Amino acid sequence: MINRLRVLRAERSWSQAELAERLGVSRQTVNAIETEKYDPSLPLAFRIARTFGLAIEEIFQPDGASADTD
Amino acid sequence: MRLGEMCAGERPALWRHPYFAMVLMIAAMAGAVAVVRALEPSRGARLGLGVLPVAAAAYLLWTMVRWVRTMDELQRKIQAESLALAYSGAILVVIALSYLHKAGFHLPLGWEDALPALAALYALSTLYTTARYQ
Repeated sequence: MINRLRVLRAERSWSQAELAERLGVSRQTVNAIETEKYDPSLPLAFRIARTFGLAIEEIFQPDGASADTD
Repeated sequence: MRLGEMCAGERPALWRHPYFAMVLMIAAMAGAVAVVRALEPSRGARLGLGVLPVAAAAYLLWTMVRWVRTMDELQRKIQAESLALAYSGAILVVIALSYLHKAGFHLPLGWEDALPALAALYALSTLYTTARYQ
């Protein structure tokens, strides 16, 4: 899964620690999601989307998203 | 890996942290064995010394359960993978020791060495698994 978490966080000038606090997870988890080493659970993905005021699919996309939609 | 980074919510005090409890349990086991061997205490004292590591192990389990409950989903995944690695490693070590024993190599190891070895394997696998997600 690919995501725009780092970009969205940077747009709001939030640190990883700040975002982690808003989401109720560790900074390590935010970092692992940003570097795409870990895919969040659906409840956490919803929390992330709600935190940024976006829909889940505006933040997360499957790896072959562009190829699938062609 | 720092202790404080492991917990998303409540951060346990050092004395309630499983790493501390693990050290305590190893010390209790080693201490009880050493005292029994060195002092040859009475039957009642031996019973107390025999139960001491069990109490320490129960304390370790209590701190583990509390610790896991404070973790977020990635940290729980890391712990689950670490436990799987540690137990797999422990089984490999047991098989290796068994075949070494059959081949005539009698290593001076007993059941009292199993838990500290498992704890060491668990610590190593936690470091490895944590690094995978950094």
